[in-house]
Amino acid sequence: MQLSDSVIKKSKHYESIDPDVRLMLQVQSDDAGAFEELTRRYQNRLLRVMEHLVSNRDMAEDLAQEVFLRVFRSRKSYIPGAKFSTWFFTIANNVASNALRNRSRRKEINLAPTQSEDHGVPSLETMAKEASALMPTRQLDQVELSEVVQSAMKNSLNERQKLALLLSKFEHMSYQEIAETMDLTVQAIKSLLSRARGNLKQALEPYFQTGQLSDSYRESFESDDQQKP
Amino acid sequence: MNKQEKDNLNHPELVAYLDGELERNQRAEVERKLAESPEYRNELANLQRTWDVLDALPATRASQEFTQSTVELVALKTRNLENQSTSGARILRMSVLVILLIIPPIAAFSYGYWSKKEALTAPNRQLLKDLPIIENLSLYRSVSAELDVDQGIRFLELLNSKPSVFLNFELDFSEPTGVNLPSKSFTTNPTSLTLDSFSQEEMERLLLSQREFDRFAGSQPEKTDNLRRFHKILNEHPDSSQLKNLLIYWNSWLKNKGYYLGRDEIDRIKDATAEDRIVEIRRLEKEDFVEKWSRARGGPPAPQDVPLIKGFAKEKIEELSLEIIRQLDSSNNEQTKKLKEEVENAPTHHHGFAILMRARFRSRFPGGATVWSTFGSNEIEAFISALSAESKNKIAGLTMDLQMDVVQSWIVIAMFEIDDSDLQEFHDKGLTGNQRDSLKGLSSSEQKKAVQQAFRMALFQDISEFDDVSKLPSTGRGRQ
Repeated sequence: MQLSDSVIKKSKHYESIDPDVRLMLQVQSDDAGAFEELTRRYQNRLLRVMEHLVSNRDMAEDLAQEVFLRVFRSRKSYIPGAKFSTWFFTIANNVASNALRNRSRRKEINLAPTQSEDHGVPSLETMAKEASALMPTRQLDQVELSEVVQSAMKNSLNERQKLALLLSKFEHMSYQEIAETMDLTVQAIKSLLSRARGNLKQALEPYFQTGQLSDSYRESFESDDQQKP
Repeated sequence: MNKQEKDNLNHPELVAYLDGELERNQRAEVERKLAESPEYRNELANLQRTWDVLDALPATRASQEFTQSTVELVALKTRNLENQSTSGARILRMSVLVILLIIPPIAAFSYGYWSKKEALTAPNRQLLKDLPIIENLSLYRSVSAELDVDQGIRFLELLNSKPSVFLNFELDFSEPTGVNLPSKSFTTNPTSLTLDSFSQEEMERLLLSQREFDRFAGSQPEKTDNLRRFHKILNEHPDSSQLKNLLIYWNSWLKNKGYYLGRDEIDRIKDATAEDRIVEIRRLEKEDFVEKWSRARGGPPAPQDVPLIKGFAKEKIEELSLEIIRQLDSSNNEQTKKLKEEVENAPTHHHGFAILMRARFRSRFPGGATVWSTFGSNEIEAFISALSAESKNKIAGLTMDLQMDVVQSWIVIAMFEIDDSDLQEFHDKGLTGNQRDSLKGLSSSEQKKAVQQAFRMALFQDISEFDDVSKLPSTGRGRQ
């Protein structure tokens, strides 16, 4: 394959500034250790995104493995045209989108009685805090807030909004990078993120003011619970 | 954008402003508006706050096995590619490297994989039958079911009969551990599935799990048989769903403890008899409790504030109980009706609350997870301002967060403080005639001590079987 000068220049640029690009180029040269290292570097970041998108830890792990597999399979055609994370999360976006479309194929039932689908039984910490009546101290806030934010995200954002938000918050991507990752225009990302943050703000506002979520969100959590066997 | 979303977003440019994604002139315009409008500044602050709270989302950590199984999966797929590809030389080299990396198991597995793959087209009954066992292997192993089926079941039954074993009903002021409890779910018994209904990817994952299962069983097929028997008994048990919940809980508890107890200690607990495991749980929970309690008790409030704090605490317990009961009212099933009756018949509000918390633990009512966010910071701040100058002095100089920590400890201590009126109420409503009779002949201080002990014990279990309350066994729980 003949590459144009500008592509080669761009590629060299990213190779010089991004250590993950260099690692991926080692994978391209069939360096097994580099692939393992890449997996280690990205697995937690990827799992976080996947877990929020599909709300299920097991499924998130399956999808993450699929992403790494695709990364490996694409190694020969890899050309560093962006930061590695942008390319990597483009693949993740494709995998997640396909999976969410096919989700009904999964045949698992979660017996765990918590409000989020995938956290099993509440931790002792959580239970003790529930029992000790829920005062807003630093520690309690931490646990409570975490659950509230997860629930607000789950109930107020669609998948695209969630992904854009997670990439912006945790991957520190610019609008341009998110646009490349999600194959949208910068303007679309701007609008997507505005809506995502507006919705989230709306969902969390009652909590900030009163320590409680609005009735509509509470109801939706409760119906989540009731749907469980 | 629908109407709702428009309403949520009064000033869409503020998000881009916060993200540093505005052009210079747009940024200047936003800053001009910010300088002029308090409402605009407020909107910005709310958006910023929303952004900041995303930091509260838990960090996700891949398990130890994840990296390895990912690399293995890629190795498998690479073999697949290698067979299909005509330009396979370099891929082969990569495969060999990857395979070398994960030897010893991969070579043996590859053989098994290909031979099993041949069988995929036909239903493989044993694999299907073992599927839920394979998927739940770590859970079943957490009670050493592979070694002793009966002890495993007995242990879960014991836990089920003593829900208070795990229920650290007291304070928790520990620093956040940062430990993520592993998520785990049971899979259904897939009687209606056939292997054809799995995608290739799902099938490969399943085969990896099965390999793990086979490797675990190793040369001891009785382990596999034990797991199958355990699975059958667990699923046919009359309290099956409770036992499964407890198993998940136990597994999480073990892993949580494992972070600081170490593997040997965890293995020792796992290998103990069912009864000894219960003793161990109690011991460890009590140690935790004592440590947390000593930390929480830093300093008491001024004596004149104690009634105020106790009143507030009692009000909160009742508020919370009412909220839970309100949720129960919206549910019509027999279990919740029965639970409501139990709460209504509880001798004191403490005992009613304890029943609700146990029920919450055992998932007997819906929506329980949402009831506990009933306090706001404003409420606590208002409460602090109502305290005497003497109490306020005790927390003066602390940050607001720390002030609230201390005041919270006062409130929660008060919440579980048993006073004479509680004891009297419990004596009248919570003890049987025989039990009340058993107190006669004791001195008043002995009577009080016995009732206190019965009170605490009744928070966690039914004490009607004990006729003599002066001779109750020690619970090993409760505030000393």
